[in-house]
Amino acid sequence: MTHSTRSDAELLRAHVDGDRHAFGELFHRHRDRLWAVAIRTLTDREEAADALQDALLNAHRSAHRFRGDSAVTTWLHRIVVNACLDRIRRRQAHPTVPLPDSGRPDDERSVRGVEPAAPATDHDTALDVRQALSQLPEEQRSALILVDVQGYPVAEAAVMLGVAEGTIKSRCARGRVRLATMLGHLRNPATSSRVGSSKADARAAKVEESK
Amino acid sequence: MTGREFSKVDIDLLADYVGGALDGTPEKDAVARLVADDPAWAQAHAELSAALAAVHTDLTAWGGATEPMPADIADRIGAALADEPLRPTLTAMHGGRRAGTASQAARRRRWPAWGTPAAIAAGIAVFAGFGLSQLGGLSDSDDAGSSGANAPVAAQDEAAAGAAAPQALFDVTGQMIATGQDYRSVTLSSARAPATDARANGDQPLVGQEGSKARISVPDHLRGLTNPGVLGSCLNSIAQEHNRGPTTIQVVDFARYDGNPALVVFFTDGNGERWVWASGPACGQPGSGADTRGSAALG
Repeated sequence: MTHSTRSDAELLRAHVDGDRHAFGELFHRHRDRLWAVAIRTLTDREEAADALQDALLNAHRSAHRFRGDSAVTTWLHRIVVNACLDRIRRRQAHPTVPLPDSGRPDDERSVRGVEPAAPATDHDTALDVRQALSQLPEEQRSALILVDVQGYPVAEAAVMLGVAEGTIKSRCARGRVRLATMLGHLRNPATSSRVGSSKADARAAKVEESK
Repeated sequence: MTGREFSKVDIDLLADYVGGALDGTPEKDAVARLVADDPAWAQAHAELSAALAAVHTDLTAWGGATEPMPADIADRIGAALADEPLRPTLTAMHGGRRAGTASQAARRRRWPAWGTPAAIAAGIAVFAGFGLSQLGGLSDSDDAGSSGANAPVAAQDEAAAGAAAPQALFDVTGQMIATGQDYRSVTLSSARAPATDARANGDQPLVGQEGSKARISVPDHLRGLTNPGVLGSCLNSIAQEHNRGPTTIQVVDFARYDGNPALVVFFTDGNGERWVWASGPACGQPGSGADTRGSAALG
């Protein structure tokens, strides 16, 4: 496949107009960042691959509905994040017992399981961060992955997750408190969880309404 | 600071303050005063600020590690996308609508064989006339000045606009209601569509029932879905994600799913199978697809 200098919006328009290669080029252009969001949100390689495939097929089919209200990448990320969160919710509805992560041969890990998420030199720390993140409520995890890990501005993350900016700030802040405890930066402050999040969401929504 | 000392401080509130979530609220000043005047809050603020900065550094460093998509997964997804059919291009407008301009031609969309702009417009209008006007009545009683009462007019506008209407992947035979019922993911496959006459079985009164005084309203989070265009787009997204042919909608319930506001849709797909689908408030919004929260075939 040859890669053009067309913008994301031009590629998506070309796809809608029948260019068979345009969406593939869009996928190639952004696949690593989309993959990073999926694998870091779901932590399971196969689940992340399935979620990403579902999301991209959804985007492929619904491209004609993209109105240009946000960047194409924001739109794609939003679809991917929603697909990942859907899977988390389904997993919570039908919980399974995860396989132990340690002691497995490398070849098994490469087939199914957690993807190494950092260079080998810092692998232990990376594992700590990843494992701690996986224990957060999904709302806090997805917000932190987009803002702190992937580096998206709060405003863009808010569009991706379909919530107010204040809600993103609150989810990130409260998620960081939990991580601070898990990672040893803070000694066990008693924090509320989802109830607190709901209050924060309500507060953030109130703030957004008053602005 | 020990956990006991931390217990004197509302850590969530303090975290919101440190994270900027209280900006623009009176609570920000209140927390600032506590931090300034109360030694426990002051110490917690200092420790929390340092800890949160350390976490941010950890996460940023982790994010800096490149994670390219594995080649086998890239190949697999690339192949799936390549196999995905492109829809046939619509080359003529239906019903003598406005003549195409160059820009409209550039924006032309592709429709499935079983969907046309005219059909979707009609579908939304029928649905709007059947249900959204009823919702409008409910909205008027609960929330003066809401846009619900104008919904059918909006639907007509959208139908008249033609090109702005999404493609029709569904038709409608049933009711829209707002039971407020909390459907559960674990029992979704055994969910029963709400009765169309609630008084017959003692349920909550239905939206727009003649002679009934509505006691429940559409949850605030779902208000956007009372717009005919958004609702049509949402139902279309559900049909599209389900992807099993023409979808016939029986019941749309403004309700809850696992405790959260959700549009719960009962329909029959092109295979004749009955399904229930739960969508979140973003359903029909650009980029959100059906905002699917759950779905199940009904036995």
